[in-house]
Amino acid sequence: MNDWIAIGALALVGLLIPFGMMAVSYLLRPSVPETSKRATYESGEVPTGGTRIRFNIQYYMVALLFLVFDIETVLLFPWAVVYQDALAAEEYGLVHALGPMLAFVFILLIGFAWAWRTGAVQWARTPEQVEAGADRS
Amino acid sequence: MIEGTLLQAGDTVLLPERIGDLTGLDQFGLAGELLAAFIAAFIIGNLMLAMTGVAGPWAKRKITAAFTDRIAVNRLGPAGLLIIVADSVRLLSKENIIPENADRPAYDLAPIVVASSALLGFAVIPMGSGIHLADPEVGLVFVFAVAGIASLGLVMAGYSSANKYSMLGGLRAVAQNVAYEIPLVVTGMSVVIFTGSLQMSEIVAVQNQPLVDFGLFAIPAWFAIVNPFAFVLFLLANFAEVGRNPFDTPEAPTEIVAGYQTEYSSVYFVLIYLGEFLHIFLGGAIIATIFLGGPAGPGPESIGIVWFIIKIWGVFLLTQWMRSAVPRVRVDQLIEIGWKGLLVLSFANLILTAIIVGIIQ
Repeated sequence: MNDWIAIGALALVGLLIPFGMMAVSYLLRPSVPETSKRATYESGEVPTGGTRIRFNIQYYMVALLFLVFDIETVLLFPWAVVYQDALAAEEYGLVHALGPMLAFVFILLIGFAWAWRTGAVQWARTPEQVEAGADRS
Repeated sequence: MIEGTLLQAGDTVLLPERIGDLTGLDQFGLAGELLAAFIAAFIIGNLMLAMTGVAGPWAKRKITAAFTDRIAVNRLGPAGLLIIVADSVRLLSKENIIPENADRPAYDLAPIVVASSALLGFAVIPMGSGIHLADPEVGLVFVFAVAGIASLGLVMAGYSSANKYSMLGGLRAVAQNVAYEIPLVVTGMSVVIFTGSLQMSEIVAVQNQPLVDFGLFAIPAWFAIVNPFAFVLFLLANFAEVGRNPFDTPEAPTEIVAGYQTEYSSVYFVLIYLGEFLHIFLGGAIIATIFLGGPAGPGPESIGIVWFIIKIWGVFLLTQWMRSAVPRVRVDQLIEIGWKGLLVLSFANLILTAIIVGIIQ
């Protein structure tokens, strides 16, 4: 039997269960509209300003870093799968099986060390750090 | 310890085939196959839903109460178990209040994305006793990929609620998930080095060979025993992935109300809550499968599901223990622990594992 038919079936069940619950809830729940009920929750105060606020640039920095590392994991998975076979094969051996991966990770780690130095993964800075980092780009 | 329970990859009969055999549906070609797959998926979906039902309204309260020296739910039914029914009816019959500035399609879709992505991950998990829905060759990558979809749902929930707390919670959720996804996957990869396969049944089979044989009992080659360092790293990264203490910053009840779920009520709240518990169980299922030998345990092979559920609940209990015992880290600490600590350690683990495996062989 095809595996992906079964996975598709679970995807269908995974959608049917939430929709079923929503249908049951639709039948059970009351609807009592009231003007102030739908106001945005702000600890009981009258909401001020919009929601599309400015937020810390660091969220963007870590997302960029993630992109690089995520692609790297995709490229490393095939290596992990064939690693033992490559070790066992006569024409490859330890150096040829491990060496390229080490080089690959090393290049990435240089980039990561640079990101670390420039403070891409550091969110809060002490006043001294801010002063010292003022001339950093 | 696990004598006589050596599972062999390849000869496992998956649940849809078994159901096809039992009901005679396999004589009806593709239609029968589809129906058998649907029945199997329905069983697994409801099994997980039942476990979540016990965990969410009942076990979580009981465990927290035990930690804080209280009694918690004890009025309805034996040990308060009927609170599960009462709570589901109560929550489903609440009025669904939708905030006035919400982005409608995204606001409605987010709870569905969170709940169904977690459920889909269970498709490739071998739960023992023949309860194994599908066994594709890319099993491990599939389960990581599907579990990752949930962060999309959290961002949708956070952004579309048009609430400042939700917005901050959604942003934190995505920053946390991207920071801990890499250590999680890279640590999982160090297991793949041993197995040489991404197929879940193969990963379980490799772990059931004895590591040290003492004659009377044998220590199985569970990867938690073979590589405990990776096990601890994976547990930690998993806490962050499912957003539990010490990494529950996206919800942070004392800082940003309830994070991305602040504006959700009624059935939408139930779905997000359900999705979170399903994610904890999915995390537990991944840990059990790739580190704790899946359904292996003493006794006959047919009670594998019992061992599997015990292992999942073990991980669940650990998350609840952490919830009661460990304080939350700040969001900047969270990012630094993820990128400067776990990421570096997980790559060190991967490279060391590769070198050690290479030298031994």
